[in-house]
Amino acid sequence: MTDTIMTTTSTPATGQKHASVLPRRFLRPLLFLGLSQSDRSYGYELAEAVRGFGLSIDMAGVYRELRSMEQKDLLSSEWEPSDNGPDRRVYMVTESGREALTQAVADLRLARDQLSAALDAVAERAE
Amino acid sequence: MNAPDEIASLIAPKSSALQMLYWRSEILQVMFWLRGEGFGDIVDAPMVERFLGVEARNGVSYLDRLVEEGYLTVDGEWYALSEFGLKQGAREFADSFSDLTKPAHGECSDDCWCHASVDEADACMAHRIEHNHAMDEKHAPKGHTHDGHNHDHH
Repeated sequence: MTDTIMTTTSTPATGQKHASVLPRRFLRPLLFLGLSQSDRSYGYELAEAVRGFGLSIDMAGVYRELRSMEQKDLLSSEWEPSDNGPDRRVYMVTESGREALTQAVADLRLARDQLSAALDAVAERAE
Repeated sequence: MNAPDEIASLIAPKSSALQMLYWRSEILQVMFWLRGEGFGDIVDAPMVERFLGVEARNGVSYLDRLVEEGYLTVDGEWYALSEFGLKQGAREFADSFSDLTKPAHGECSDDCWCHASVDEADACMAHRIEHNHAMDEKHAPKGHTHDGHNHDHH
């Protein structure tokens, strides 16, 4: 169980390891992107979304960040009863979280544009 | 960012009774969360450390206390939710712990990477532990031990 939870770089389905391409400070904006894909999100779904965006992170990191975001009123959460399994914690973006989400998307776009411009400049000089 | 040296001892309640309530809630919430996400319902002290930032040697004492109270069962180093823990914990989360589980002040800022990665969390924790040990030694009377002291701030 520990290995399953703590493995940060494995793709669960394949067990293949992949390198993280993003700094870990992108975790919160990427969690926002994951949260924006659905009105209600589960922790594992969000972890998978973040991994899909290219950031290696384990469940402990996701848990701590979600707690932090909830404490800052960016998220709300509740235990969702299930008839055929354990209750699950489900996360929703709050009103102030939506503002932060918009800012997170803007910040990511800015980072993308700046990196793209920097890479283009390097490529031009190399030609 | 706030001065980390001043933050370490602020996050959990100060009285031992409230501290136990606080950590009971935190530990049970992690266990419920892991269970809901399909990772089972057992933890050990290092997992509690990684998820909650509580130093493992202190986490063991909290886990053992939860065993004594009937919330958990223990098998070697692994702790599992008991039937009582499942029922009682689920009920309590709905109401009475809502305030206790939201630290009012003293947490790291948004920019602290301890929120974002285990590596940074470990480094942050090591810093806090080092600081708290130094503070304990500075303020402790002769014969003092670290038992019952809380070194975490998450």
